[in-house]
Amino acid sequence: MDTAFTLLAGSSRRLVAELRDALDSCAERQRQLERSLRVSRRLLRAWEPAETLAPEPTPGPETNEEAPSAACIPSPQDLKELELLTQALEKAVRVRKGISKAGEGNKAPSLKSGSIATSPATRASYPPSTSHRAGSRASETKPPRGILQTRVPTKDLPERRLLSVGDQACMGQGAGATKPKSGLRNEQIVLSAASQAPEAFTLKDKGVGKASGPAWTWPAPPGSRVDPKDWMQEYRCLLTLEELQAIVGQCLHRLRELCTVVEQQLGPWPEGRFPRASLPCGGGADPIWSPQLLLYSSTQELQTLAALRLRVAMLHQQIHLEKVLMAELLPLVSKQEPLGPPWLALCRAVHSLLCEGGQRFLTILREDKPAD
Amino acid sequence: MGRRRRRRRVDPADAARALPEAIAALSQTLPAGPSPETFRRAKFDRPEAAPALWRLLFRVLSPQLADGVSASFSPEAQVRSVKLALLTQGYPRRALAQLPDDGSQGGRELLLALAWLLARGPLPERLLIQNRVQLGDEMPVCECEALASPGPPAPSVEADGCVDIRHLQWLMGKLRFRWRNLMASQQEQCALLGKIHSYTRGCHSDRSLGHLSVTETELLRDPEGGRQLLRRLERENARLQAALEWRRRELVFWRWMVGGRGPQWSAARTALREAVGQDLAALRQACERGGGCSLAQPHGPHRLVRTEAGAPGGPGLRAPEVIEALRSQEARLEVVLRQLQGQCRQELARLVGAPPGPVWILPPGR
Repeated sequence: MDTAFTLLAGSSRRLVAELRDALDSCAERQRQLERSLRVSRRLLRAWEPAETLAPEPTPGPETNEEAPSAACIPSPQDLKELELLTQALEKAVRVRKGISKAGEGNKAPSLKSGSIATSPATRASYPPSTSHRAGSRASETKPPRGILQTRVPTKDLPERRLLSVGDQACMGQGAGATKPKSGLRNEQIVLSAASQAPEAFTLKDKGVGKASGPAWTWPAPPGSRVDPKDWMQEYRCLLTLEELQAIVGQCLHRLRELCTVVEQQLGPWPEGRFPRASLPCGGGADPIWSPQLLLYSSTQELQTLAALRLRVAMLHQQIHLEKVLMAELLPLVSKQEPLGPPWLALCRAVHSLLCEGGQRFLTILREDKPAD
Repeated sequence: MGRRRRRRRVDPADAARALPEAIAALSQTLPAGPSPETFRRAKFDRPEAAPALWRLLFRVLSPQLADGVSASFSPEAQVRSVKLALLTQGYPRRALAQLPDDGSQGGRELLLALAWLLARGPLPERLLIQNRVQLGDEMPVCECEALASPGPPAPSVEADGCVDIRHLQWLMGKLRFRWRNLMASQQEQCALLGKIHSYTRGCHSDRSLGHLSVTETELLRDPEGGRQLLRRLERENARLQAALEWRRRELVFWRWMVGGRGPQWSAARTALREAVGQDLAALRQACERGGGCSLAQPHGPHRLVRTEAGAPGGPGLRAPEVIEALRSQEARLEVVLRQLQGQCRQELARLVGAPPGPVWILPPGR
């Protein structure tokens, strides 16, 4: 009886591999999610100490949070570190701007004064944990509203100062001196790199390309008069243009057909009443390096969105598995000796997997021959 | 090898350095990039260069793996993963698939494969984008990334011999359970994020954001975390600068790789044609599917920003719009799944045969 349930080696390898793959990708998502959960729980513990959050398996990192900070006002050391961090973040923004503008040959990437990167550090005159120290009041009210009140005028940022309440003497202009200089130098390198990009290598003119240095005995390619990279770019552009031309032609054709149909039925096409496509409008910002925003107004909304996204992912996976199972299991059923009890059991199992997602089983009634 | 007459404008020493510097820039921008010397050895097909190139290709083709996870793959598993990934992407040369699994040979073939990958698209930039430091709490609004990257074959995938169909049923059940867990964890994470966002309202100097993200809150709480973030940003800066250097210098590399060699040039050309064809086919499919262009469906990671109810908010996607788009996607996919299941039901009914065969009683609750 059990022999009916065994599968051929070939299909079983593939099926098990596919299912294991699906299980692994699920596990990977779960791992990432749990990493984020640990961080979020830890952060919230300071605001909601009374709430019993989910048990934390790794209590190690949290002990730092509970240890009282040395003073309510951050030390000059902390402020200097924050300033260094601000500079690094500013540099990151600049380099990113440099990357996205290098193609246009823009020689002067401007510092985005309202940039996200610089803001967190500048707000940090008082770390949020101090409000918790302030007393049990913190657990009743929403503490962070009161804390970070200092508003840094953004035009001060290029001077690399942190404005803290009455403590400007601590600002390390001396101690942090080496860092800003190197930062500036790197920025200049980036700028010069970006500005030189349009001047492509013209090695072919100079007849260079032969390895002549002693350490590098690369085989010398024979001189060619056209840069292969240019060729490839050109070729790629040509191919793309050709294909796009074909697509556009088809779309226009279809559009014309639709227009005639609509006009026949409804009258002339109304101007300017196209439904607003939910285009991510980055307002001109490069969507890749500075990600666009997703605005939500309640936790419920966020949860619905996240749940739907997971559901779509799950459906994609289910459809893929369904196709694989169909391809492997249906031939199996058709090849077997029909109508014996083992075969019926196999059919029942296959039906469950293919038609009910493995969740439900059907009942098979068989009429026994009368014993007389 | 006669010397060509060189114009004196370019210092010969600079010219000789140009190629290793170009390769060094490329190597720095890629994960696990080997030294220029290794590239040189690979070109001559020296065996000592092969392992480094296998490792490089593994990291390049599976960028979604964290450093720790990729280290857990044995060299053989890495080799097999690279072969499979290249096959999936349509790499045409069979010689690579025939290289031994122990990773001891094939430097030259691997170098060619790398060049093929580089020619198809902006590979260093894509890798940088994928691994960039994120300051905000980001959530992708589509599943394209997850679907596009086939996971690497699991290290221990051997099903020994035949497998019982009940094992498959068990695996399906396990999968269902994992999805349920995932859903629950995701809901919890959203609730926590919502709280953090509303508690830190007013703390961000960027008015369009208004509140802090988890990373930013951590930054303020924990100086050690701030230092780590600083280090990560510095590393990323270094890679970004290397990427710029690479783009400045890559012509030298291509001359060296391709210059005059017929078969390699046509391989690169074929690669381009395929890549363009694939991109446009995807675009066409997206246009036909759902009756609209793929632009109508929001894509990519977005930074979460909590707004006050009723406030108009600035530029950006609104959650209700994304929810709408996802709901219609969900409905479409459910239809497809039901259709497939219906097909199976009919097929099985046909195979089982007409009465007087056994009677099938379908499960209740449908």
